Amino acid sequence: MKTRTIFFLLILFFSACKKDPPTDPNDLTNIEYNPSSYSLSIPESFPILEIPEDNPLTYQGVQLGRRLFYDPIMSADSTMSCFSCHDINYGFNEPLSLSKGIDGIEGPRSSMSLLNVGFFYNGLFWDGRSHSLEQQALEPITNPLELHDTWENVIVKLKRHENYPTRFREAFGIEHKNEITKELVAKALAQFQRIIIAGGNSKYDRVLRGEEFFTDSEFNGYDMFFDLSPDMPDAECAHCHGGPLFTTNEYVNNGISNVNSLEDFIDKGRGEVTGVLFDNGKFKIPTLRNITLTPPYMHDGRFATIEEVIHHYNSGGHYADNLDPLILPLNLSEQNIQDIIAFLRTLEDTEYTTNPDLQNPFE
Amino acid sequence: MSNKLKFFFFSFALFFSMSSCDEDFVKGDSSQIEIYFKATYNGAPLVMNDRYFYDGKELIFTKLQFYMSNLILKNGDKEVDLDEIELIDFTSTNTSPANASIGFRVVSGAIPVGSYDGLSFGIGVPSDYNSEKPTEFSSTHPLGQSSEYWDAWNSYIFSKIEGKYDEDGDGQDLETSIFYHIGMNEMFRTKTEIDLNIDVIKEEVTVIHVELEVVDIFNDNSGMIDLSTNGTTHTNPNSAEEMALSNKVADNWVNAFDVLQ
Ligand code: HEC
Ligand code: HEC
Repeated sequence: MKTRTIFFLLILFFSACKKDPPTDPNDLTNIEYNPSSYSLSIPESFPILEIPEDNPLTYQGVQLGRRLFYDPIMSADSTMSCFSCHDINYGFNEPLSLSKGIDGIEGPRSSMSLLNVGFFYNGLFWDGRSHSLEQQALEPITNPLELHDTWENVIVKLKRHENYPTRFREAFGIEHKNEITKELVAKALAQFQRIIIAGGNSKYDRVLRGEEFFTDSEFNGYDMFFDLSPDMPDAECAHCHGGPLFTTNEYVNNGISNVNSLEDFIDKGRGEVTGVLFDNGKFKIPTLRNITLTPPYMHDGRFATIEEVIHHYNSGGHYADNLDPLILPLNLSEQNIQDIIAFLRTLEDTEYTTNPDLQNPFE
Repeated sequence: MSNKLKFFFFSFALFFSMSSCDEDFVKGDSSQIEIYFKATYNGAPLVMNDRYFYDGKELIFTKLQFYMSNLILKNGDKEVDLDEIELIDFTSTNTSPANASIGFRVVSGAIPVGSYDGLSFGIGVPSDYNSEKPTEFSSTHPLGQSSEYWDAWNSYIFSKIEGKYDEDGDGQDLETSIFYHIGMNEMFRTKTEIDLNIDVIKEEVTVIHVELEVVDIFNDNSGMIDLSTNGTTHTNPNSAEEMALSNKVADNWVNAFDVLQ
């Protein structure tokens, strides 16, 4: 009796299907497309978050981007994804001097923090070769030193996947699996990266809001960092690491490389992109929020500790014709150096790690 | 009202005032005007990072920029507003002799035809704007860059000159840094040029050249600034010496401009 009913229902079900016009299994139009806008809280002191008109932040887009960011489906051997080199617990950076891709080969540069990356409008990467997050995200997949896959392959994997097509439909309204493209993958990744916002509740921010006080050591560090009083040495840091994100987003040579001429930089950095000799050896000024938590330092990870970094600046750096004029011997005492480090520690703020939308969805 | 809202309303008001101006122009005859700011060193177009001589020693400029505000053309007491605020950044324009001789183009708008005898502009950010911060503006607005703001002063940096100088005169490395960062309301200056003879003619583009002779920023009636002792200032309000040097440099900026016709 039971089996019969089931059989009967099954027939009904099938015949109902048959009555409909034959549907394409890759058609997605029966899934609802009704994206909701993503509400983001941005600290009061931060710049305006500029979002491209053709890629508004939606809840569905951010969640799709988050899965892609953490999903090893994005690499040729399914071992790595973006998070492998941009780890939430290291300020979306990694604790290595030089990044290693799926083949275990070191790339030429150290990974970069993605904290507040949505606010960096003057180019991305150490050399600024990419203009937007939408453009940037196209690169790591095919880079042989990173995820070393092909886009054709990644797109095939996503189309075949049991739930990615639905998620692309929900985020971008595509009607057919074939409409999954690398551009949409990049858009989703860009949306996710725009919500990686950190800061606003560091001790520094709380002190600025009058909720807390610096210790003497922190205050002295703050004074030197911003060149406040003539009684303390100027450390000149804020010329380059100024503003609420502690970077002016410019490209400069901060004197870490010892070269005989402008042709001799091993990594030409900005010069590789602009073709201008005077730009050789210039790199993007990185943010210093959470910097004490993300050693090693510089584009090639050459400094293991923050002490080494400040000692470098104190020395005035290596001469080159394009050494920035604001890199000069600082005459800081050991105590001054410790004070600057104490100040930099006030920029630590790990509250962002508790944001569920930033966490690995597969854990 | 939050500052962002204020800015929004302000832009809105500005938009309306501009569109009403346009209407006036449509009624009378109007013509295009273009203004080029050029930087020279001893009369030749100044090229960033090229070596020049100062006091017999070599120097280069790595940054040269200023905020130009409230650009006005005058005729008797009649005034035409040309531009409210602009960051004139020679660092980005003066990359070769050819580019440097073109300079930084500021305005290309329509103004009533007729003759004008005066031109003025501010060197710096006017106080109403200077109470804002870069975070209030979009990244493409002249006031939207954190690099142009100095938190310690609560002020935009009105002008920047940065470079390097061969202090020991050995003709090799440029081992000494120079930087003049001028800011805060009291450092705001206005350049006013009178007795000009500018004719804006119907259906012709009027071109005005404003030249900045950079040597004159270092060299005034009281003599040449000694770059080895007075080569840097952050305009630190707590330092009388820096304030004196910055005031002098701010004054010199005014005199270094010349309107060519
Ligand atoms: C193998 C390690 C590795 C992987 C995997 C990786 N990255 Fe990166 N990422 C880097 C390195 C190294 C840099 C700096 C590269 C350069 O400057 O040339 C970087 C830079 C960036 C930047 C620029 C940040 C800035 O402030 O300019 C962004 C954004 C970024 N990565 C996002 C991603 C995304 C999204 C993915 C996944 C699709 C990804 N990365 C995968 C190592 C990696
Ligand atoms: C002239 C501009 C300039 C000044 C002044 C300056 N920096 Fe930097 N800073 C840079 C640049 C550019 C880099 C990246 C260089 C590279 O990797 O090649 C950098 C990198 C760093 C890093 C490493 C960041 C990372 O993610 O690896 C730290 C830490 C740092 N700076 C701290 C400071 C401190 C503290 C001061 C003041 C003592 C200071 N900087 C002064 C331009 C500057």
